[in-house]
Amino acid sequence: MMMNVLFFTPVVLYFLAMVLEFAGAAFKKDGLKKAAWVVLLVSASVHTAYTVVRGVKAGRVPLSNQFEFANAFALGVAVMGIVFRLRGKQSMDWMVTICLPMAFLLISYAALQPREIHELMPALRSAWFTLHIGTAVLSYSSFALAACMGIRYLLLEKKGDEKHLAQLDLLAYKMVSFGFLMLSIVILSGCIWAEQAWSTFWSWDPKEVWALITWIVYAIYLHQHIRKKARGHKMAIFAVFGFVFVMFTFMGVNKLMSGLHSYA
Amino acid sequence: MEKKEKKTKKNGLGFLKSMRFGMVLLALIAALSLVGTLIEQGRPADFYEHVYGDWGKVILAVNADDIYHSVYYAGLFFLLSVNLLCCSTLRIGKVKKAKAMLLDRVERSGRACDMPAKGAEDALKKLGFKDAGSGRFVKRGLGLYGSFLTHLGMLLLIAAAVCTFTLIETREEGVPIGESVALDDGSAITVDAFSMENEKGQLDYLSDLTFTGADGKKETVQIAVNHPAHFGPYTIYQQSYNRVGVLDVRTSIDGEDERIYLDGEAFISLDGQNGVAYGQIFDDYEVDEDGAIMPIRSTQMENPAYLIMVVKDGTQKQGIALVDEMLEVSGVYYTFRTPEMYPGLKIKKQPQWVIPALYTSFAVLLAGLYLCFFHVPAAACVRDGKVYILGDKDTEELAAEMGVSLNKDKEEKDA
Repeated sequence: MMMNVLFFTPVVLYFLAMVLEFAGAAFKKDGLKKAAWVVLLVSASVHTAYTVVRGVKAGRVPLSNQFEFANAFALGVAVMGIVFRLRGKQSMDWMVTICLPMAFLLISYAALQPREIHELMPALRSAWFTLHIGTAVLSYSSFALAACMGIRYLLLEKKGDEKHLAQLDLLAYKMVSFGFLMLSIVILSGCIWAEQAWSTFWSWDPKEVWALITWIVYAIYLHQHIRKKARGHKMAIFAVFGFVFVMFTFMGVNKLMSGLHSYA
Repeated sequence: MEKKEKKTKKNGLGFLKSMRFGMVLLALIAALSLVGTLIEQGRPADFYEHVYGDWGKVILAVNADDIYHSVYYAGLFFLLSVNLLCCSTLRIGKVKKAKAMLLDRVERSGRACDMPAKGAEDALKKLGFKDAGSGRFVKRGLGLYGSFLTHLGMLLLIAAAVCTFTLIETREEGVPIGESVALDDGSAITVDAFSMENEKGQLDYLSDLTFTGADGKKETVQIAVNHPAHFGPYTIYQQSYNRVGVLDVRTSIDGEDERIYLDGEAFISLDGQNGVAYGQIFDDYEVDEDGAIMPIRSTQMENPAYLIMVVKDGTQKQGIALVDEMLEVSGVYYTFRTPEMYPGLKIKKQPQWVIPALYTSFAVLLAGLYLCFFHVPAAACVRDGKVYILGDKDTEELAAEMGVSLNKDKEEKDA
């Protein structure tokens, strides 16, 4: 019961913060936006508390299945948004607008998954578990925020605030760069772990292949960003397009394909 | 004519090392990889004809049933390796040029900041800038090697991956307790024990092994999932488990038992005509209202029962044999015992340099990516009594990092 309350409190609070944020933007009321920011901080704190308590109860890092990963993914997006907002102060208050819907959607998806705590299966009891899946959370969260920045870019493009658009383009690039490095660690640590558990570095398992496809998509994004002409509109579309692959790797592969990662 | 040939050669090499070619290759690899996840891989030919109808023949003809081992998929990786080799690795000399270009750029398009020019040299050095001569400074110059290292890492990774796919030999063996498996260098592995629970009471798969080297030296070790054992070029993995039926046979009631392990259908007979045919083991059984034994499947092996057929004097009678129940057939006594679990081992033989080579490629790739994204070079120059700075990606961020403010120098420059 207590765990349910702890889990559903941030679900409701993210939604409330999102409503306040959009109402603040629609009616140009700074007070509502400030309230949204405070609710986001409270929500992320409760969300963190839930994740920590779950980890303590499970006796491990809570990242072993779709629910736990989606929960951490939502928390990752919220925390990254908060960190950016705190670092950038007023110039980054738009970060709250873009991270809230994503965090709410992800935690809502988590809410639809079974939440029972299970003992880790033998293949998952490894020193690589935390690094492999923890970096996946960071990577996916970065790509999620980059996609949100891409959407914001496309929505505000016609208004023509060049400085803000350039800031969005650069930040999205930085998020993709960080996410790409993390995804590389996910794939390489996964190879090392797979060699220890299954005797082979690479099995062409659907999850592995889709992680590789996602890696390639973002590698192309990063190469394209070198060309100044391609920056802006095209890169914004690319950031959103790339995130489709991230979500398929996370959800689609587990729901539609069977393989060695079916438990994840 | 010679000029034309040279131009063609230059164009050919230019295309091979171009970023566009690399991107096209990556996109093709991604597209084929995607197709490989949509079509089931490595199934028998009739599966494709049955599931995909007429398309099954097309799938088989283009080797789409085994895309990841197809010639064209390997060919794409080969071309990618050529591209990586040409576009970056052979251009290490250009890193120096990139440094010179960065310093030129700071001269041309650096932004003036409020750092006083007097004593700027020392202040810049304190901020981590290194003197590049002629009043110009560079910071995080190592970042210029990021792209080179990333591409080198990729190239090494592809090479090491090819080695792992081609040089590694693996075999799978189910080894009953007490049995050994011989390795091709004269050494052997014996399974001493197998259990499915660790010391914490959790489900686990643990095998106690004795490795006997070609020189007769013995070494004992326990392996588990995620914890393989290494013996020279061999690595032994806890891969699976299975169960084996156990049958004791004796030729007289007070004779000595001879133990037979049953890991598949078998007919056990002394004269070749009368005896017991073993079918399979069931995990559990129920007794119905008429007292008949009904074998059932279960997740736990509570009360194992053997499905057998007694063959005697030309007649066959199917039945169930319970554990420790003795059957007599033509003067021979058969007693089925509790089935034993045994491990399935995977034995991998590989040259000992393969894994270090692969791990080196991982390290080079990650170091390259780190340098590319988080060790971004910056430059500064002191000119006309002003300090100009340039961040390779973001000059405003560099200014914040240096604790200086950027002057509105654009207007000044334009003027």
